[in-house]
Amino acid sequence: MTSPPDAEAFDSLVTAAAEGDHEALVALYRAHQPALVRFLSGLVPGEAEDLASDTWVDMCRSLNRFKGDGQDFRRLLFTIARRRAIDHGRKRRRHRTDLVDFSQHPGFGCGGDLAEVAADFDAADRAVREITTLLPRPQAEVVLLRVVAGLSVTDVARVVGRSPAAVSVLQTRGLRRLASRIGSPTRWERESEPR
Amino acid sequence: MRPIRLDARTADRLLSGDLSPDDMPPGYHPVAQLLDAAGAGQTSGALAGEKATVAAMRAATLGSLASVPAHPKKTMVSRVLAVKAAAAAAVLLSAGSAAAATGSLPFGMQNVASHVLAKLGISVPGTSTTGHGDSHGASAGHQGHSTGPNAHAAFGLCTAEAAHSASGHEPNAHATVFPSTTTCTSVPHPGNGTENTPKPEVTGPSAHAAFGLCTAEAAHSASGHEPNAHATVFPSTTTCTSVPHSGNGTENTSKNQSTTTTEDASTSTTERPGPEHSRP
Repeated sequence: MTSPPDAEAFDSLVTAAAEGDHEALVALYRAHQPALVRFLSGLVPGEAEDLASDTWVDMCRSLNRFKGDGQDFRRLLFTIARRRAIDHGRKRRRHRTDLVDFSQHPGFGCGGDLAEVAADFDAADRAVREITTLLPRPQAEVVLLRVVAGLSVTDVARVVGRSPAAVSVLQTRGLRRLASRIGSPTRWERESEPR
Repeated sequence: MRPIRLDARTADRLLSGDLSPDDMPPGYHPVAQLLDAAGAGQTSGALAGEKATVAAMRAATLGSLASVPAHPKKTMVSRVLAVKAAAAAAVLLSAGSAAAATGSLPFGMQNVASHVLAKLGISVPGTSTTGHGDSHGASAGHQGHSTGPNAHAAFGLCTAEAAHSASGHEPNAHATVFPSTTTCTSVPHPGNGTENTPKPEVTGPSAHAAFGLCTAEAAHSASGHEPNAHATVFPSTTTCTSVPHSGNGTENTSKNQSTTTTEDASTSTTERPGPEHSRP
């Protein structure tokens, strides 16, 4: 059975990128960078672009050993990105020097600061921020990986290290919570449940 | 506030963008709009760091290529095997299939020769211990001293080659592989006379092999069988007139003689199909 043209084209692109071809690397970067930054901005606001660059470097280090299609590539990319975000969050908590704990302030997202909250973001960024503000972290991650990264339930399960059934439960609960919060007069009100 | 009812399947369809407005549960239109906004469109400034990031990507890619060798063990093993195979082939050709046919190659090499020559349609004993072994001692000698091609075998092959050339037979892919004419010009006669009769300690097949071939040739001619393209090429009658009898009278020699005759005849028989075939 022959591979579809898109799969062959992707294989050629990855092969060329693995050999250091500049145009191939640019193509991969431009195809995935917007979603990557948007996903990371929901997890670590203000650090998304730096973490995205680190993610790309990690990805390229193992590119010559990569085997799979476009979906496999995307899944691996977001797996690396998520781990980068988690590691970054741990480092920040260990070296925290903030004089004021903004995390208790209403309207505060997932560890971001007030300046970023008040910034004029485009619609995509605002939507991501709303999701991560209104949902506990596990639910927000799953929803973002489904919607921003475009991954299936199975792929999301592999990224976050849970079963597909657990991912299904998380996304269902997340959407229910969004429905119950959107349209409320106090939309920026922080959830009382721990994240 | 009480969560609005939603089942898992509908939730999955909503996240996949597969839910039409008509199928949207009450209260979930704003959620669908939020999800669409999060998943679509460009994030401002997302590609601002393209140049620096792609440069870093390229450096990481090239760095990983430089640090990972391409299967060095496999390459080394392949190279060693190729050298061994070439060496084995060279030994086989120079030693001559005649030596293999008499089971007189060094121990181990005999099995290799049997296997390789079988692919050419030539049947030779698979071990160095053959009918020659006990009586000749040649094989025993080979077993103990693998010092390369045996002078007797090389001479026998060259003799056969000369006979083949003189016979006018067409080359046969199934025939014994002879040494080249150039090689044969430097192969001396192993010697005549009873004092050169192989003793148990003598290495390699002796003049018994050449005599045996000539004996078989004479028998073949006397039988009236038609020449056979697939048969062993016997030395010419002229050649055979100069090949002495390998020995008479002694108990050992007679045993050798019978064994030799049987072995060489059987060897040639192996090369020669039945009477229904004919030699061109």
